[in-house]
Amino acid sequence: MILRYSLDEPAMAGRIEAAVERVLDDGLRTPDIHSAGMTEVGCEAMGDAVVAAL
Amino acid sequence: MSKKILVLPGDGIGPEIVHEAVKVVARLRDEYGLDVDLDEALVGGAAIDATGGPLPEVTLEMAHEADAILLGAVGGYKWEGLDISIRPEKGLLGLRAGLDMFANLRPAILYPQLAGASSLKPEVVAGLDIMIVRELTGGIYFGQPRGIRELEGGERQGFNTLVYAESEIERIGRVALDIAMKRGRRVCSVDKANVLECTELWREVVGRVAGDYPKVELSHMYVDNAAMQLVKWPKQFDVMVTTNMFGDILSDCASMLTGSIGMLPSASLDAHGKGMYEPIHGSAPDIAGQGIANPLATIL
Repeated sequence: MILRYSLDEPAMAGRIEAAVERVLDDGLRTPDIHSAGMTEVGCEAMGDAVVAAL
Repeated sequence: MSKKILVLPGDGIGPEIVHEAVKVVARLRDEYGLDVDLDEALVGGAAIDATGGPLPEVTLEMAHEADAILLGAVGGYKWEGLDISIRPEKGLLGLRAGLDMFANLRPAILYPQLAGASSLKPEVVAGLDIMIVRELTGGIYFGQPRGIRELEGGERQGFNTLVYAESEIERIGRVALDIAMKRGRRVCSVDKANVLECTELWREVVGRVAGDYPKVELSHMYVDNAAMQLVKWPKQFDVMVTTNMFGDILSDCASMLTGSIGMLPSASLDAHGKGMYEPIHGSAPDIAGQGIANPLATIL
């Protein structure tokens, strides 16, 4: 949101949003959004996964 | 010139989730050429422990100089005994007031992968993408006169005032219309113009401002109907713009449609696009330090 609305960097914002989608597609879930069949991960692992998916 | 992001981790799970968001921004900076400087300062309980107050002068100064602020969360059990004037939450209120942030952006996005988390049927909410733009510094929450007075005969009467100047309506209307231009180009303005004169003016002014945005389709809806439509068929909305109190209620309603508040960010903007960004969830002191918090709202 920062990149889209304050820094006027919509392409960079889109990159982050797409990375989050990809991580969700890969089945990674923190405990609050975990459901059956998904892979539960912690805060740091989730952050690492998003960075890797950029 | 590089844009400046001021990072305020805050309390509870704030530092953990902000750490992950900073990693994402730093990677964009280092690998993809995002021209940005990151700086960090204290706010909330962390600032109370270090300096005695929730909003140190240096933090406010840095906030004034930044283009955007990324905030984790503030508050926790440790500071609950303090006087209300120096609680961690006061740091946030002070920041918002000091920066004149009058527009609150509350997206309600439900990724199809998480549609099962909603209390509504997946087909009603999967792929939901609404942006609620709430006026944040005016209306009945701030209007004068207000108070509780004693009537003749001794009965007490509480009263508040719903008040909006044309300029206040116009600037929030423009924020919503500008955002719509970057999205689906539809704005629904929510009011109660059939009962409240103040929102009759709201409807008129938003309509007038929309004249400058011929590419955006503007509609108007009474707030009671908007509440029903949000639950019945939320995907009909793109951008919604409304008053402080209506926005307070509708934005929380829209957030809950998604069923996963760990995924939702929010922003407060001033007239120049400078913003303070934070997850809508709190500092969650009960799980702080366990490494299990969801950083995605903060990353987004």
